[in-house]
Amino acid sequence: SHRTGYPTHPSVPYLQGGPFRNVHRRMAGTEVLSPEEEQEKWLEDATTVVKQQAFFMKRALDNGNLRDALKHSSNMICELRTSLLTPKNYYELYMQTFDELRYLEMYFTEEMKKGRRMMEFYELVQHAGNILPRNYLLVTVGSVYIKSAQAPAKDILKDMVEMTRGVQHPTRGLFLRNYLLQMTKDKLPDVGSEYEGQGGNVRDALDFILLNFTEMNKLWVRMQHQGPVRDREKREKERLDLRILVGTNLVRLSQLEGVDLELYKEFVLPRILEQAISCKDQIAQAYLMDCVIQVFPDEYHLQTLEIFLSTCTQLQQGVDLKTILINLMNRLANFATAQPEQIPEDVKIFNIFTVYVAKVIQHQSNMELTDILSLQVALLNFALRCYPDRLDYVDHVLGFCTQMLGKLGTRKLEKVSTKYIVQLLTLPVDAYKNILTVLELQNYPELMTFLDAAMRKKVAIDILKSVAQFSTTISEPDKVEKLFNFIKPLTEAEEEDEEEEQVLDEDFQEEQYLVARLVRFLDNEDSDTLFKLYAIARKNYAKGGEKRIKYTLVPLVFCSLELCGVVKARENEGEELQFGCKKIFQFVHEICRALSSILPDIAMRLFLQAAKVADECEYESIAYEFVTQAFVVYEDEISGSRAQYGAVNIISGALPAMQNLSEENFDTLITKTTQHSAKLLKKPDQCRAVANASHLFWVGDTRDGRRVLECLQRALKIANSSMDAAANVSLFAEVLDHFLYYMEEGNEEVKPQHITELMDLINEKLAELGDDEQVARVRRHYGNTLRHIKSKQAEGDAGSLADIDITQAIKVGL
Amino acid sequence: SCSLIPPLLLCSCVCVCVCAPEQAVVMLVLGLGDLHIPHRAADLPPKFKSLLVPGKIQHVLCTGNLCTKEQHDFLKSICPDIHIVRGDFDEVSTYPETKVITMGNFKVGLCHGHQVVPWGDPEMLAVLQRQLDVDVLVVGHTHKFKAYEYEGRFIVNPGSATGAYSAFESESTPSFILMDIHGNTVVTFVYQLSPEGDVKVEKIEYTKA
Repeated sequence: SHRTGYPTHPSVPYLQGGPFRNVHRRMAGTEVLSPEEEQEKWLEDATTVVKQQAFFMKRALDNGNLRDALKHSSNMICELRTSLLTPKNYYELYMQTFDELRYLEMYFTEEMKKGRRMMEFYELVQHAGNILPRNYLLVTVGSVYIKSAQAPAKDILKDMVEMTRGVQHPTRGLFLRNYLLQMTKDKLPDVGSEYEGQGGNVRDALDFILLNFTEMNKLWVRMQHQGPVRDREKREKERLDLRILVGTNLVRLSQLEGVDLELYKEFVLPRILEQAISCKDQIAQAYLMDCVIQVFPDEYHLQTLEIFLSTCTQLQQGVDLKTILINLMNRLANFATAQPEQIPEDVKIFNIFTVYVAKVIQHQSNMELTDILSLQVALLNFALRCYPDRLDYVDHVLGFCTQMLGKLGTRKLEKVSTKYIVQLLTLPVDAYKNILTVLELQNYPELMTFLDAAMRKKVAIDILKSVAQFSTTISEPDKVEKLFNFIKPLTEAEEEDEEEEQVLDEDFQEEQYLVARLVRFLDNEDSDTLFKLYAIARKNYAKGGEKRIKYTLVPLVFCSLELCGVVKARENEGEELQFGCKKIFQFVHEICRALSSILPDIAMRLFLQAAKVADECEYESIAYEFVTQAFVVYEDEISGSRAQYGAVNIISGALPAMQNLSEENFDTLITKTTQHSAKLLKKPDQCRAVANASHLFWVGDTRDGRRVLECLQRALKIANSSMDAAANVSLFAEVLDHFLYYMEEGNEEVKPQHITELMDLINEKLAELGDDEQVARVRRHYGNTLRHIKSKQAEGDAGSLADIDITQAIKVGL
Repeated sequence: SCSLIPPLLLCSCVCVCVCAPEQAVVMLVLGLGDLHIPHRAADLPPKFKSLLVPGKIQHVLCTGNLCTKEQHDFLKSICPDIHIVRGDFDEVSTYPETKVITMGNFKVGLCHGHQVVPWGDPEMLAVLQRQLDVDVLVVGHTHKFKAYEYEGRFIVNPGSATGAYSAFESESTPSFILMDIHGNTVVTFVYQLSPEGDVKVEKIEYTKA
């Protein structure tokens, strides 16, 4: 026998128990097995016996031989008397035995149906020699006895729960009582069950379960002190493996229909908590408190908070109260989100939690900062979900943390602590979905200061993203000031920054674009107030220095220009305004000048945009000034030839739109533009720019055909002087386009022979050239131009291109 | 593909459509530009964003003025084949001034349009089209949707996808286009956001000679 080390006789009558010894004798010649292998072997041996005895038991039952059946079932259960198996393996064995005992139960059930007296069986099985089989058999019969209703359920239950007291060994006792619980699952005199009334009431059921629970807990705690100190860790692990056995009692309690809030509050919970406190065992306490939270409904927790929390403060020092509290708060927060109407009005839950969290922190004198912060995060989350209107709750938590961190002085915080502080700051932003609410939190900016620069930026970015995501409009100056204060980490340079690296950093760019986007969310119906908001933004953006304003100021210019339209309309109505168009233009002027040296290309274009707006608002001198500034930027800051070419063409495109400049002013500007066009570095650029500039002399009422022609002829001259033959025929073709345009526009200075001469020139050059990529392109272009002329002629457009003879060109094989 | 129902709305509702046998390859081309984010607009209109989802579009033609890399990445996420030309406010300086792309039987030209003086002049735009030798020219800059045929060629301006402000243009309705290219026909659907906030769709067909 693996159990006793003595040889076994299969026919040992169950009435006699053998001496019980825990001796394991190694047989000579066998090898030493590892602990795991030993366990495996023992389990295998025991399982074999169980199967064997079960076979005999079933055969005996089939033959109606109850005595033998009981004898074999007793032998079978005796395998559970072992002390050698770990809890996990014991569980395996237990389950095997459990399954086999079902046959026995079925037999008794059949007998019950035949009308046999269960009392007889109940007494018969108590003759079993060993206490463990005796109890298992008792419970097996007892459960059928209850079903028979031949005696009140409460009496049978009481008897069984008392009898099982006989097994005081922790592991064996726990499994036995678990068996008791399983077998009586649907046989309790609960409200609405068939056993209610004669069989008892819900209080009897409660008494039964609570007694079982108390005994099991005692057994479980006893395990802690069994055996030498060096094995403590192993024991504790084994205890944890068995915890569900104890917890099942609580589950059973929660499943009773008859346990309503009243009963829970007055009777059930106090008994459980009493047991938790009195057992003075760390592992049990931690598990039981958590179990209560998991097993009973949240509505009950809300009504029993104080008693539960006060119990927490009476637990052993080593219990992880923080986790218990956090679990509870999170659970209730989820509950509140799902069923907000269930939060009781009369119970000041947040206050209770705040008080007890503080008590717990005090109680555990050496609580780590990270633990305290994690509690605060759970509390904050709870407040946000259960009481979304109570900003003061959230502010209170932030204030508490700020105070606490302040007392610690400036210390480098651990990563985990930082993470919690970031959570404290970002949870409200996400929950309120409206940054204006977050701005009301007084303690928010101060709490931010305890983070390092990178984390502060992260929080600020979260805030800005929230504004964009929910399209929150901010319309009050003080709110805007507050918001800029909150996002200070992004708008202002800090000493810890690696300034040089940042400039090229993509993340930095993205950050600054987020900041720039903020002006889009500033709005107010009153233009004066809106301008004030822009001024506040400008002031704050300026603190960022050159590296930042190149991203953040451009949107502000456009917002201001758009505002001009609104302001102008109000001025036309004759309204008295604090900030009229002029002030806004000054504002824009200042910003553009600030950008001139940092972003010259953009600055120049902004000046032109502003000029157009000023022109439209009929502020002629301001419009002229803006255009002048555009030229200044062009002349002083824009140096690359490609940039210059692009810029001068923009000016040529923009100027015609200035309808309200005086003739003289306009003339000055277009002449200047033409001069700049002619002074570009590369010939092709010059040619094209001058050709474009020709259009400046063909605007609205001031059409000067002669000056147009002058431009075009100058362009041709420039094109001619280019050394690259292919390039210059391309330019000729382009200038031809301009000539044709003016002819169609009715510019009388452009005569057919200008065009025919140019076409002859092009034909000549094309005939000389080969057929590379560039030339092929010119041929296609020129071909299209000719087709255009032909189709216009076919339309019969009088005087337009009628006089041009394209036959020669066609002969050149196009 | 069905020419009755605009392609993007078609994709977002369950609809059975029998394709003619020769139209095996779907070619949907998104045309948009002048977003001016973040300079002049915070973001694309939400209703547009919900239409522009990955997997529906084969090519993107962008007239420029995005203005930042963030928008470039967004377009790339809708469709990997994107063509962008340089606008006058684009921060990325490596985009070309013009681009010619062959799509099916069409040669498509792409240019922002601020380079064409006078701005928005139909005859000078036609000149650009003849210079590039393209059947379809896609230009922007004016922030106004336009689509018309001229001397046998097609010119289309998708407008500003965000309805961005321009000093040189009074009103701006957010708009973009979707071109359905098959055989010698391009069907252009224009999506516009009305002041009331609804997406309105119109179409115009162009068949090349």
